[in-house]
Amino acid sequence: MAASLWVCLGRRWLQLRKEVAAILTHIVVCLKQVPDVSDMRMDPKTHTVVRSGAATIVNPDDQYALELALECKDRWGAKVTAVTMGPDGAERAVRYALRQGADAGVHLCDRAFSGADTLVTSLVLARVVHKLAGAAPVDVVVCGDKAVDGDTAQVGPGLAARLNCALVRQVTGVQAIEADQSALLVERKTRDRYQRVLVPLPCLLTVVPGRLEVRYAALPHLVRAARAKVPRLSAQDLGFSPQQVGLAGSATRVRKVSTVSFPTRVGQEVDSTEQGLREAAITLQTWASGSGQKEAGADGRS
Amino acid sequence: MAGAESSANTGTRHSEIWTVMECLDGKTTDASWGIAAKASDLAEGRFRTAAVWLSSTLKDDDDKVRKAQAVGVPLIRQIQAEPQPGYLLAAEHAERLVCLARKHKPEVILLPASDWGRTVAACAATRLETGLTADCTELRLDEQGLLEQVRPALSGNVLATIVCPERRPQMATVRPHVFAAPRLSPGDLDRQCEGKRRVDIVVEPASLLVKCGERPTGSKRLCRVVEDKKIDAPDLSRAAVVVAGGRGIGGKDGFGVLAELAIQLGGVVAGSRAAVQSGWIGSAWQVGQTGQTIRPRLYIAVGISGTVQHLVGVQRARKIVAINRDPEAPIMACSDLRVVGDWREVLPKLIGELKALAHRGQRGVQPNG
Repeated sequence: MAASLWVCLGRRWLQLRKEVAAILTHIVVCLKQVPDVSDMRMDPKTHTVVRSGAATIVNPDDQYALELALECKDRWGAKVTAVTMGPDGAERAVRYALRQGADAGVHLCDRAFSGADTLVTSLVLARVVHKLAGAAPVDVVVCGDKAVDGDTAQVGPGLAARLNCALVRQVTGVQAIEADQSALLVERKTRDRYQRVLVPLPCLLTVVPGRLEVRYAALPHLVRAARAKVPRLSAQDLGFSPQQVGLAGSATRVRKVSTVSFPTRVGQEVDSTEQGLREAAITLQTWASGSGQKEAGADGRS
Repeated sequence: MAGAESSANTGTRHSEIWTVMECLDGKTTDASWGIAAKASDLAEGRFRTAAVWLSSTLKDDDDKVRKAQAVGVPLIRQIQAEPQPGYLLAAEHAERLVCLARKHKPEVILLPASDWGRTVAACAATRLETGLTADCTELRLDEQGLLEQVRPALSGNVLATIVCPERRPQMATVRPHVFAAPRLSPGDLDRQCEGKRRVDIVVEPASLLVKCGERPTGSKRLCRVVEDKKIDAPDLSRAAVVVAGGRGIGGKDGFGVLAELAIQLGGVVAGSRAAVQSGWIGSAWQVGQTGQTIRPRLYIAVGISGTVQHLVGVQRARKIVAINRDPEAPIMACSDLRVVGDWREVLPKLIGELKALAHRGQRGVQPNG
């Protein structure tokens, strides 16, 4: 199965080379199928996320990451390969990418992968990128900045560290490519800064929403995606033993999961009558000005 | 060669807790000092705490030695590295941290969970092949000295306690402003330093980077910043009064009313995650676990039910006021003042009362003045 993938990838690549003198060769996009955050549970035994049964979506940041890759493809003729790791249902992320216009996709699917922390996730993804680079050299790896379920923003930088390539986080778009094809000019936006950064190739970009608009899928892509058979790779296919990946290979363990309780405050209740709100206004003003309150309490360490 | 060095060191005790200090505009951030202070609390004589700077360009004009002394950090570690203005340096800083960590083998490394800190931590933890927990809101040491890293998970619906049992160092990024920096004005500083231990300063030479082999290819991975603009973004963590709106506000227009209330109280407007995701207010204005953590004098939550991820970010407010139609909303139990009602009716009246108060206040002052 894997062999046929490489043949297919190779053919597609040759085809692309004929179509345009590609400036970029190969972009790999990492996508994650995530539980819909409003519909999630934890397994009380393993303390990991229960993914079966919950509604899932393609992680929002990853949708923008794919869009960025597709824009690069439109402008500079790169081949786009989508990669996802996860259980059976995660194949949807690859299919989504194919519908949007990705050229190929791989689904890393193995029971042994489950329970992976960010350290081992980046390990597996790095191995896949190396493997994909065998078909066509990879110039850019694109990831969503963070996933809505884990919210760590650690896999992208970790992957860059493993691939030993340049890294820019929080990218909102690619503006240009250097004439000698040695670097990309990207825009990034952090909480309080807008920057344009010249990033040498090969590089890894993590993408946040902002400037990009996710495209509507074109009909030919829809048809192709519906028919496509998404190739699967197991831990063994990537040369891992089960102990190296998933929960077994992870450095961190969830020791305890607890429901959260916050210290309740003995507050007064006010109804929305005129009298009630008049009193409330006086209270608010007192609290806002900080008068009549001890300074020490709030500024001490908690 | 690196392998030989590390095997020679396997017997050494991991005995230091490091806080990696973030510098913005040549000044160490308050969030970093807050974490350093927490680290020194944690250590309790079991470990030695160190504040670590990854750049040698920082001048001593922000009194870092005395501040370290004041928060009870007895050791400063720093690396002598060439300044490289105009580049994105988080990845480079990560390499410096890796080299320092390989040499000194700390037990724990903490960083602020800022953009910079998260990038440095993720790159460094991967190179060190160790565990990293993102955005912790509580840290504890258990009896064995294992670091319990607590963070909200599943979109803030539960709190997960995460440990890194075998690999070292144990690494975590810590949510900024969860641990408050002690107030360190110049006057306080002298007083707070009295009777505290002297601070040792250890500066590593730049040759450490070459020795540990992290930079074999030179600066081929350096990203040059060709344009850098500051965007208007509120620092909610410093605001004395914050008025936030949530899903219950129902649209952009409602935030205008919230702004009026905020003006009356000398505060700023913010939004919950639901409000930000609906596009009613910019993400820079988001409070909660996925936004900013705040500790104002007064926090007013309007039309916010109070999910865990939200409460995590606002529970340190001195006073919390909830305005909500639903008397059973979780935020109500965590409030000092609860107003049950529709904000569309409550807020205009409340703003009117506040205006009247201000007016009366002015009238009262004039005859005396």
